[in-house]
Amino acid sequence: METKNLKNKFKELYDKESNSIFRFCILRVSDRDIALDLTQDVFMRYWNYLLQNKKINSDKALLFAIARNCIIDWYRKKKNLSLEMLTETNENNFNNESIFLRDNTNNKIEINAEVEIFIKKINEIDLKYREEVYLRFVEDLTPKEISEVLEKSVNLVSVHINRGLHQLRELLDI
Amino acid sequence: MKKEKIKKGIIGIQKIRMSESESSILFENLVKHINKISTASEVEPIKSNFYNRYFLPTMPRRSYFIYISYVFVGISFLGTGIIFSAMSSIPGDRLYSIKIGVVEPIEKLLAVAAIDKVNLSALKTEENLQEAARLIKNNTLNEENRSLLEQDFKKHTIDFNNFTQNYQIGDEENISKTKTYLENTIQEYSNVLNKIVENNNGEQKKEIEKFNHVLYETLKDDRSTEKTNQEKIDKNNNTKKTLERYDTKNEDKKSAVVYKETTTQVPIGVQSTSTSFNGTNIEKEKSEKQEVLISPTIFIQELSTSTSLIITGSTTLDNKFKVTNQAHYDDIQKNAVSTSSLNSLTNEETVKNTNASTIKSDGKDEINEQNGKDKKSN
Repeated sequence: METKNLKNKFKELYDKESNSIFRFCILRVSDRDIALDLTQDVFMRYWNYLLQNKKINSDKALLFAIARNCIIDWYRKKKNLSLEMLTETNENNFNNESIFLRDNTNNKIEINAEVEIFIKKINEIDLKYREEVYLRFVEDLTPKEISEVLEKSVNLVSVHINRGLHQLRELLDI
Repeated sequence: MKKEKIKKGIIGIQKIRMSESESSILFENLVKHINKISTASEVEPIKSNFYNRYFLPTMPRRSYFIYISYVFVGISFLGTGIIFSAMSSIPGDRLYSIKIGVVEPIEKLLAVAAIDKVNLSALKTEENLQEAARLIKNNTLNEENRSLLEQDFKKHTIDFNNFTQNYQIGDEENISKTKTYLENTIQEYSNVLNKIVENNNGEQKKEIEKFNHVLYETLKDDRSTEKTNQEKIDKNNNTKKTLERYDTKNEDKKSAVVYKETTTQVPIGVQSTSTSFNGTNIEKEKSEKQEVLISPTIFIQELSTSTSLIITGSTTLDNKFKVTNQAHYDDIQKNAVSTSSLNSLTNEETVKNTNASTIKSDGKDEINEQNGKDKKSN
């Protein structure tokens, strides 16, 4: 594929998926600037991957897979921070709305208290099922795409989605 | 109802997004990155077989040369480190054997000139003294260390004496300076050691005494050798003086030097500043203590420069000619040689010179062979 086509494809995908990748990152690192850096890194890696002309089943799934790996790398680099500091920052960041809400015009996007609670409840789901639930319901990925991202079988992913949803319902007292 | 609650939550999460400015900045950065890397080859460059990171650009990457070079560099670094640390070692240290066995022979080899050798041996002797001082300071001067130190010290002093005897002309002053300096230092060290022995009652006392005795002996030997050298020099001076006196006596007497030709041919005795002899064997006939002694240097000069004798005189029928011209006596004195040396001078060169028929001197006197022959016939 020519580089011009690749650039067009890249631009389209960026417009379409940049926010979802950013969201995916910010919900895991709880830091807006770091999430932005990670998003940029994800798209750089994606471009490098495109240049290698390898077969890509789903661009969206690939982006999320890269984002997941980037986050894992970031946590590995962050080892030197103490566990106490990590927990403190996580709590503070999560309680602070500004990490989710920032605009170039400084117009705050209002998020309901219900949404905040919903985010907290999602983070309370078992680690096994959390990613599957999030990718399925928030980012609207198919079980096949999720299986590509998480490198699990499709059946397992669908099972995990069901179990996770069940847990979420329990947590929300629905 | 249940679904709506979840949907609301999901929509609420989906509202989390980048601001427009953040998104544009991010995209600009990405475009820069994309423009930089436009081909797959730039993402992962194909490594050259000759590429490597460690200063060796032309060597194959998997070549053993690289490993050998690393080993070589490592050994050289290690070696220099060991040698440098060995240089400051004292007897009893592990590296002292390296100092004696490796470092000092190399230093000896590097000193080529005679004066350098003298200076090096003097320096090493002084180092030995310093080592002794350090040993005493560290309370480690035991029998073993002392014997090692003594051996090294004696070796250096012997070297020093040998090198001072084989000096070159022109280095006498420097050598005498280093000699006096070394003697003074040895003397100072022995004085200090004497004081230490007086004030010390410890275990080291015996060893210090022994080492001091060695210093004393070396000083004694040096002085004796100096004496003998001085005597030799004095003797040489005396002989020179006697020679000079003898020469002056000869000058006073101003006796004539008579040369006798053994051949039948009559030489050309001419009134000239320089005369050549037309013969093969010339004997200097001694008359009235006319033996002329010359110093070796003059003799060498004679051999190199003089091929003819400057004699003035008149030829006689009995094949004798006397040196009568007093004005040229000095020249004769200078150029005259003993009979043995004269014999040596009658080589081919002199013969060639003597074959010359006439010799002009100062543009005044001209001698013809014909004249000589006429005189002979007369």
